Amino acid sequence: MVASAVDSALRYRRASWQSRVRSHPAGPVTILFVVMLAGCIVASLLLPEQFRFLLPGNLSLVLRQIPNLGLVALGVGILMIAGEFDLSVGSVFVAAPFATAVAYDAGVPFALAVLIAIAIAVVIGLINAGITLGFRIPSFITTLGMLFIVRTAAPYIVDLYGGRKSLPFRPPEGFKEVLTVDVFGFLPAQFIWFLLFAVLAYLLLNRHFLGNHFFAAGGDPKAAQFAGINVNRTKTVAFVLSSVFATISGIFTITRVAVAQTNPQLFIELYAVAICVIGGLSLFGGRGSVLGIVIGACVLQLVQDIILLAQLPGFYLDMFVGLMIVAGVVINQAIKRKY
Amino acid sequence: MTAATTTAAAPATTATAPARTPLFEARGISKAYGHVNALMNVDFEVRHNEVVGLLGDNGAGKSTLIKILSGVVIPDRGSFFRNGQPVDISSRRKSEQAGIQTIYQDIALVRSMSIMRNIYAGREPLGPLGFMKMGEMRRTAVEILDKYVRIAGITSPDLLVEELSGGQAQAVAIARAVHFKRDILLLDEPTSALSVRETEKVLAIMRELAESGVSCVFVTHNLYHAFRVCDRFTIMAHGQNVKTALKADTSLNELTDIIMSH
Amino acid sequence: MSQISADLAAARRVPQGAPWLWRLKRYQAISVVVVYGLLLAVCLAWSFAAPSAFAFATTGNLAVLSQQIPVTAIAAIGVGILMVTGEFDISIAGTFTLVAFIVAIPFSEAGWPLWLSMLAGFGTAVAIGVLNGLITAWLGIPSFIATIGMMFFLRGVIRFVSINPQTNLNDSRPFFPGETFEAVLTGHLFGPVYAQLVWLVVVAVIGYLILNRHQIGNHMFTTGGNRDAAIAVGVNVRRVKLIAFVICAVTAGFAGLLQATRINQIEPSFATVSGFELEAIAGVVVGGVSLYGGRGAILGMVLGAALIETVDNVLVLIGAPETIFKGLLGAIVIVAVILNNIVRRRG
Repeated sequence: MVASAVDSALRYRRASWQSRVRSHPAGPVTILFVVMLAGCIVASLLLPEQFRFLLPGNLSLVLRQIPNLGLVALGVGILMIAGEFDLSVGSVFVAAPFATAVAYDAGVPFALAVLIAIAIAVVIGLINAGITLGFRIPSFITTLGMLFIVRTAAPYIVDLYGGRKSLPFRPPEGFKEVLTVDVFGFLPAQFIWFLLFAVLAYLLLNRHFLGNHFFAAGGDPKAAQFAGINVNRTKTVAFVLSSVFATISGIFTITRVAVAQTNPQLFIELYAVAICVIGGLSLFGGRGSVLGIVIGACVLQLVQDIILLAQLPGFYLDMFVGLMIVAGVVINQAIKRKY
Repeated sequence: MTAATTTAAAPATTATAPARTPLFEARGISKAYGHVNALMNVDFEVRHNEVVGLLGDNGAGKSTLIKILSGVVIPDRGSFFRNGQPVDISSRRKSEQAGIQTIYQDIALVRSMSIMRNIYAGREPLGPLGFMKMGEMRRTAVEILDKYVRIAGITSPDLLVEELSGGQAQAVAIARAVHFKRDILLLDEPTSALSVRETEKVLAIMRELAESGVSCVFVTHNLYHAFRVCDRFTIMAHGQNVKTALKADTSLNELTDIIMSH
Repeated sequence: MSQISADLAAARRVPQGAPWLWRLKRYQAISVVVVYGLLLAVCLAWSFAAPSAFAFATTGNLAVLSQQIPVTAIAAIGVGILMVTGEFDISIAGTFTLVAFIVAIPFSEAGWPLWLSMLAGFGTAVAIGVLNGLITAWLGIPSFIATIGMMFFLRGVIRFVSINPQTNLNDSRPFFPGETFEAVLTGHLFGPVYAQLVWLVVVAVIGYLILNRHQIGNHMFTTGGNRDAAIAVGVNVRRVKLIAFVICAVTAGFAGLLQATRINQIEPSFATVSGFELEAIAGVVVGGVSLYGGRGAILGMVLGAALIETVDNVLVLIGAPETIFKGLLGAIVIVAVILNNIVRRRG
C-alpha cells in the first residue's frame, strides 16, 4: 500500500477515561444515584430519629428488595439492547415459579421442579420471538398480548391441580439459606446473587460474541444482517434470556416469601422497563450497559425507601416512576444527539 | 494526502492490465422482472489493480447488476469467472467467498457500536465458551486502522461509528472488507453524501486500494468523481452495457454525451 | 417498455367488475364487518334455537350490550384515530378514571355547577392529550413509552385525588349528577336502546368527518402512512399528532364520564387493573386499523370494539370464568395484528 494519507502523529489508544465516562450510557443515572445516596446519608446523620436510613435494618431491607426487579430488568435490558421489548415478564415472573411450587409440592425432585420453570420460560420466550420476528409485529404488542394470555392461562392450568391460588413453598434445606442468608448480619445473599448475575450479564454483553450480536442487531439490524449476523436468531436468544431472568427472579421471590401465588398484578414488566430507561438503555436498541440497569434498580428502590422513611404518601412513587421514564428517555436522546 | 491526490489525478499506467486474465468477469447476464427487462445480455469485467466506473442514469440497470454481483439477486442467464475459472455467486455468502464485497454507504456499519466491535461483528475471534478474544480484536483493529485507513481523527478503535464523519466511517467499512480478504469492492454511490474534502479522501483510498491489489467498482452518478479516479468505464443504459472504454480512449465530454443520448 | 409505463398499465387494469364491488373489497373495515356479522348471526341463531341455555337475544341482554359497547367503542375511536397517525396511548384507562373524578369531586363535594366541573374534567383530558403529544412528538419519545410514563403518573394523581377524606382510603366515589344529566347521557330510549348508543353514533360521525372529510384527517393518514412524505408536502406532523393525542384523551374522558354516570360511581382501581387500554387497542386492530399507522376506518374501530364487548358478553352468558376474557383479549390482539399484516402484504 502506498503510504500516502499518513498523519505522522497518529497513534491509536484507548479512549481517555473522561471521554469514556462522558459517553457511558449509565453516566447520568450514576450521578443521580450518588447524589441521592449522599442526600440520604446526610439526612440520616442530621435527623437520625426521623430519617432512619442508615440503620442496618433499613439498609438490608433495601438491599433485599433490589434483586427482585433488578434481575427481571437485567433480562429485559439485554433484550432491549437487542432492540425488542418484553412485557410478558410480569406474568412469567409469577407463573413459571408457581409451576415449580406445584411440581415440588407434587413430589417432583427439587432440581427438576426448577428446571420445569426454566423450560416454561424458554418456551414462552420462543413463542414471543416466533410471533414477533416471524410475523414482524412490534414486540411490545406481542408481549402485551402474551402478558395477558399467561396471566389468564396460569390459574386454569393450575386448576388441574386442585385449583389452589397459592401454595406454600418450602425448598430443601440449604437452598433457602444460600439464597437469603444475611452475610455480616446486614448484607442479604440475594443481593450478592444479583451482583453475580449482573457480572454474568456484563460478561455476556461485553465479552461474548452474543453480546456483540445483541448490540449490532439492536443498533442497526440491516447493518448487522449485512455483516453476516443472523438477526432473528440473535433476538430469539435475547427473548429467551428475558423470560429466564424473570423466572429466576420469581424463584428467588417465592423462596424468600415461602409462598407461591398465581395472579398478583405487580406491574413488574413496567417497572423493569422503567429501570432500563432510567439506567440509560436506548428504547431503540443498541445502547446500554449492565451498570446502568443495576444502578437504575438501586435508584428505584432508594426512592421507594425514601418515600417510606419520610412517611410520604405512596402515590409519589407512581408519579416519580412516570416522570423518570420520560426524563430518562429525554436524557438518553439528548446524549445521543450530541453526535 | 498530497501524494494520493496526485495519483487520483493521473491514474497508474494501464499498459500491463489488458494482457492478464480479468480478475472477475460476468458474461451474458440477463434479468427480467415480469415483462420488464432489467438487464439484457450484459458483459462486465473487473481487471486487476483497477478502479472501474459503473456509470449510467437511474433505471439503467446499475443497481440490478450490483445486486447480482453481491449475490442478492439471481440472474436469469449468465456466467461468472474469477481469474478465468467459473465461480458461483448465487448467494451473499458465495459472492463474498468469491472475494466480492459490496459497501453500501448507509448500511455498512452499526452506528451505535465502536469501530473495533464493528470490524468483528459477525466474525468475532472466539475463545472458550464463545467468549471473544478481546486482546486479539484490539490488536488487529489497530493494525487494520493503521494499514488501510490512516485518516486523521480516528484516534482509537473504541470510538463509536457515530462519532466519525461519513468519509471516516466509509474508510472503516472498506478497511473491514479488505482485511477479510475481499479483493473486489463494489462501492455503491460512496461519495453521494460526503463533503468535498471527504470525497477526496474516499477517492484517494480507492486509488490506493487499486494499486495494492484490491480492485474497486465505483458505482456513481457523478461523472466528475468517476473521471478523476477510474481507469476504465462501463456505461449502462436501458439494461445494456452500451460502452466500455479505457480512460485514455475517452473524455469526460464523450461519457456525458453517451449517457445523455440514451 | 419501461418500468413506469408498465406500472401505469398495471394500475389502469385494477378496477375489475362492478366499481362498487371493487370499492367494497378495498374497504379497510370489510373483514370486521364480515366477522362481526357472522358472530352476531351465530349468536342470534343459537339464542333462538336454545333460548334457555343462551339468553343472547333477550331485551335485557341486548340492553346490557347497548350500554357496554359504546363506552369501549367511543374510547376505541380516539385510540384508532391516534393509531392512524402512527401513535399509541397506553394511558387511556388513567384518563378515563381521572376525568370522571375531576368532574365528580368539585361537583359533589365543592358544590360547583355541573358545567364548570365538566369543563374542569375535559380541560384535564385536553391537558393530558397535549402533554402526551408534546412528549411524543416534540421530544421524540416513542409514544407507547411516553404514555406508559403518563399511565404511572396518572395512577399517582388518581391515588391522590381519590383519597376519601372520611376514611383516608382510595375508595370508590359515588357520582349522582342529577336526573336530566343522567337522562341525556345514559337514559333509556326504547326497547334495548340506551342514550349511550346515540352518543356513540354522534362520536362516530364526528370521527368520520374529522378523519375522512376534513383536511386534518388527510394529514393524519399522511403522517401515519409516510412521515417523511408528510413533512415533505408541508404537513405539520407534530401538530397533527398532538391533535390526535388530544382527541384520544377527550374520547377516553367522555367514555369515563358515560361509565361513571351509568353506574353512579367511580372506581379508582379501574386505572390500574382494568386492562381497558388493551381492550381499546384490541378493538381497533380487530377493526383493521394498522399498528404502523396510515390505515383505518371509523366503522372498523366501532365494530371492532363491539366485537370485543360481544365476546365478553358471550363469555358471561355461557358462564365462562370472568378472568378468561383478558387472556382471550391478548390472543385476539396478536391474531388480529398477524391477520392485518397478511392482508396488507397480499393487497
